Amino acid sequence: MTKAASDRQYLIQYLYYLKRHKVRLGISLISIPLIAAIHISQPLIMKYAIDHVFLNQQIQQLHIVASLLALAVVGEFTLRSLQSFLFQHIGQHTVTDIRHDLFSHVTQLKMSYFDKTPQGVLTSRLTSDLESLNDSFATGVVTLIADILTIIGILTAMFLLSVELTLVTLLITPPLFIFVNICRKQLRTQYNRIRSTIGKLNASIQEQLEGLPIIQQYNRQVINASEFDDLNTAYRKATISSVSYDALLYSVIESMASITLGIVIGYALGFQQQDTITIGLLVAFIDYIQKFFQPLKEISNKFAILQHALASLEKIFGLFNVTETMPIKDKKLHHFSGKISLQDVHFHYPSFPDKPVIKGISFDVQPGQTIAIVGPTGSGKSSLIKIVLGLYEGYTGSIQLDGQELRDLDPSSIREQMVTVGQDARLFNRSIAFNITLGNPSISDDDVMRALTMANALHIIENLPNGIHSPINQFGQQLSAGEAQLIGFARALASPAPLILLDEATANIDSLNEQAIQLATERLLQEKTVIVIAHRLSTIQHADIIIALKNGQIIDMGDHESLIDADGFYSKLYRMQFTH
Amino acid sequence: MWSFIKKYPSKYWPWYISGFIALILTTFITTLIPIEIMHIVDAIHQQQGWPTLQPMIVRLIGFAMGLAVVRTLSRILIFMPGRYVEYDLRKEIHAHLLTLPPVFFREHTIGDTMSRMINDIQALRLMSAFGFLHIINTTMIYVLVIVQMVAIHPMLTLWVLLPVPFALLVIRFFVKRLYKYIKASQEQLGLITDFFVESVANMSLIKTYTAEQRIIHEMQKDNTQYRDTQIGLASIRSTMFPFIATIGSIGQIILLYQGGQYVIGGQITIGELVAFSTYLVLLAWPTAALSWIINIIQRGMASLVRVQDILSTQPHPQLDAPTTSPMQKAPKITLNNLTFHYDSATKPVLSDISLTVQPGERLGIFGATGSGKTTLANLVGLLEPTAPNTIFYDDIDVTQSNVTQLRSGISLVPQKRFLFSTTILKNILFTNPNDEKGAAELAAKRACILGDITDFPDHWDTMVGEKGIMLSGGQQHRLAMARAYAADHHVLILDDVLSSVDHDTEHQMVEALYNSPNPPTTIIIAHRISALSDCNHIIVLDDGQIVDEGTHDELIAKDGAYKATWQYQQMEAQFND
Repeated sequence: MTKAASDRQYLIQYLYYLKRHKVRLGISLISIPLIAAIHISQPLIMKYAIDHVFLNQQIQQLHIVASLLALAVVGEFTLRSLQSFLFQHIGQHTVTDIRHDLFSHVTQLKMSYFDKTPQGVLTSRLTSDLESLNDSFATGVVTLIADILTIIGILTAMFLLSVELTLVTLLITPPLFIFVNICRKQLRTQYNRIRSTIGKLNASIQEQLEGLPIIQQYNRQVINASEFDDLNTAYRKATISSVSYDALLYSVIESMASITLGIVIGYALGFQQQDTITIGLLVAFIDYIQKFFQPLKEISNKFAILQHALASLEKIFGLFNVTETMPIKDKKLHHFSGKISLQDVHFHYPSFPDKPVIKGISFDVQPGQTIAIVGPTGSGKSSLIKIVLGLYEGYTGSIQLDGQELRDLDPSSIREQMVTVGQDARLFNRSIAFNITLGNPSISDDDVMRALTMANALHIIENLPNGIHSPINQFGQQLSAGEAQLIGFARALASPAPLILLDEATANIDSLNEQAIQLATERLLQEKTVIVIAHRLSTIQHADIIIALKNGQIIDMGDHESLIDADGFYSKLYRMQFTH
Repeated sequence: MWSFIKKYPSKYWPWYISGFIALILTTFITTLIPIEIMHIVDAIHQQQGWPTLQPMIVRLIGFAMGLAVVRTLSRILIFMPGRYVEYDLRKEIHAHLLTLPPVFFREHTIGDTMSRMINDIQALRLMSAFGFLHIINTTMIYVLVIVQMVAIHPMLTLWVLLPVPFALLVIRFFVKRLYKYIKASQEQLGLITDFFVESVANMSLIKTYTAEQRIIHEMQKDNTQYRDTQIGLASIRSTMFPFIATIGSIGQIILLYQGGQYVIGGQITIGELVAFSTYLVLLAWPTAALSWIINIIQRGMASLVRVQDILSTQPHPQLDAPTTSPMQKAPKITLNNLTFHYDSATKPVLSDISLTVQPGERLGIFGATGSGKTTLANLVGLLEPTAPNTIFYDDIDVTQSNVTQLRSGISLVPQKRFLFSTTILKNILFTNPNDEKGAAELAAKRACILGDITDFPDHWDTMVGEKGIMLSGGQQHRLAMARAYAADHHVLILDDVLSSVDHDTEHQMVEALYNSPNPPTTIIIAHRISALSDCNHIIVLDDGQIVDEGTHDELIAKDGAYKATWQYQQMEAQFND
């Protein structure tokens, strides 16, 4: 697709959202020419007042003219307020809707998409890009139309008053327009330079603050100060060169109305018969010329805003067009018993086609059983769990859940029947209850309390004023890693899902929390069908089936007794533990 | 406030004085133009000929051109020093930040400190440029315009200025509410952003719990609340801005009605009426801007407090201590009843730690998360200021010595690995950027990263990315080790550096660490027993106290956390065989 074609497509997608507010949009659009007309009528009222009321001494008409002007002023104010409110209202609703839809879209994307996309990029699509789209919509596009209409209206009114004088005014405009554009172009390059230097400056500040212990420890203060000074100076220089252009542009435009006025009057009087222009006409022209330059000042600026809006549009709807969403299938998994059967399963991650992580694994799980998987880092334990969860597609062989092939089932219906407790506990900065239910309304407060009790996590909420409804980081008191882990257990215990996939914490055995976690694990094992990646001998020992994995293959499988008797890898491991 | 002006903007007084003069000229000429227009209109009205009008028109254009020049000058002259003030302030704050002890960063987040260095400094610059410009501009224009208007007709002046106080009050009301809403909407947008960050980071959790719809619902609550605040903001904006545009027009209505009667009554000319009309246009913007300026100043004052908060934080107390002879060899390190707390209200992080590490020996520290290991490393590494008579280097109390000089003998490799977003070479030669590449090669070899470096396409010039993101976790740790080796210090403190590398690499790194001709006095913090087993002495920390100590063999002979962990890790190691 060409750039223009994709731009058009994005605009159409955007219009689809705007169309939901047809009536409001219609009223606002109609009010644009009305406002322009009222705005332009005011000098005409003045002209009439001077030529017909003042010069003819018609004092009784003064009331009418003054009321008319007051009406125009009040009318313009009302319409402008209404229009501005409506446009912002539409803009806000549109952005809120797009944000909702875009976030929904993001949650439907495959895990492999998140593996390759930086989180910051997704976040900025959902926040800053949307904000900038909204800003440019409300201020840029609308006022641009309004400005163009106003200029056309003013020119029409001026032409009607005096063709000659209008032509003279217009003669002055092109050089001014060129001057403004040169300045704007200069300013835009300056602003880009400023933006890139301030970006570097910010990055440097952030890096130095984060690395401050290193800088202090290695005594780099002097070198760092001088490096920072270079950036700080570059930023100052960039801003200073913009100051001059900015000042020049602003000042020239401010003076332009008076200069034009002088030239127009000079022309009118020098080359025309003086009596062709009335005093009222002159005053109206003075007014129009001043009103004419106001929108002219802003137009080229607004085109820049428009370009900005298009860029945001492209980023936002570009994300909508990412089609790597989770598939939705008709066949759902209902009332899962926990029976799983794997037959010669092979798997590699989509990004690494020549690195198989699972190489021909077969085993069966009966409802209510506990399966312990042991093996070194990189043996494929976690990948196995991710496939069973339906997070990644593309395995070969067969995985059957209650006799139905996993790849034919709707992945989301599979995950409804399973929960996981991962190695690092993932939390949301919301209430403790939310972190356990994840918003599931069928899990009551009592269920949450029961889950916390079973997970030996009651002490976490003991001193919190609002109990389970307290925010997770009350008064900045962060939960310890062990406590966070317990919340994860409680989450799994509260869920009605019959199968639990447990990826046991490895790196730190925290002596204080170890026992609590141990107890929580045992509860889980009794409650449901469990597949556990295990490191604790006590967990492994009590499993119904123990599977030892290495390099994506099963090297040992059976229950505790049979494996001890078989005198393989597991028995060696077991003996070693108890010789000390 | 005055101390700020005295310290920063006052240095640039010639700019401000000449800017002030240019600004007064600008305002003066601005008020002359309506008078010239008045003369022209009246002359035309009185049917005077071209000879009378020509000089007037020339004057009008001349004034307008002169105005453009002085206005440009005034803006340049006043805005320029603002930029210099911004530069000076940022430079000073940066230099000050480099001296601050860690306590500052426990009380302030990096994001907050950054915003002080960027947004607050900008707010101060605005105050010292725009604030200055507009206060003078508004005052001058009011004075000069009122003088001119009173000269034409005092009564009419009173009439047309009648709405101004009322307008000021209304705008003030709007601006106050506006900023309240802006603050609320910024906070809500912050909440939404945080929730997005969390959601994207926790996506696998959301998916495994099929919580997508519920998370969307949760987000939609914030989203709707934010929309409603924004619409509230829109209702203020869409009344306030058209109102500002209308202020001038209200004066015009009064002018038409009241002034019209004076014109008909012959008290003023039409030209004078037109001049009044132009003056009203001149006053409209400064009137509207007044509340904006008040806001700039208010925000500038708030920013000043936030900036001074940084500048008034005391630097590390031993930065100014006298220097002695630099560290020549590996020192003996003694800790004597070291107790430390971050906050005197809470219980100490470390209590009563006493130990001695002989020159060139290795001390191992083992303990659970939160037992105080990193705090101990930061205290011994002199990042964290300590109390007198607690830490001794070669029997000299460290609080009596210059901390910069002492630090130049110490390398601390922190747990939170941190690399700078530059090349590998520059990261390794961090302390001594002028060293030969050979020094970097030696250090890289000892840190077991030389092979990785030669494998990178750009070798030594490989950019490591922000915080070293282009490298694996293990590579980052090894590069941080190389940086410590390149500094060639006499004290080496490793805070859990060896955990994220595989066992083979760990083995090689430990070998390299121990086989040094001039071994530094070394402190190793580790979770993995294999990194500690060869230490001369090992302490076990729990809850800030030494609960056990001895050699590896002594510690595995008795039951305890050390032995339990060792067994567990033996099991893990078995898996890897």
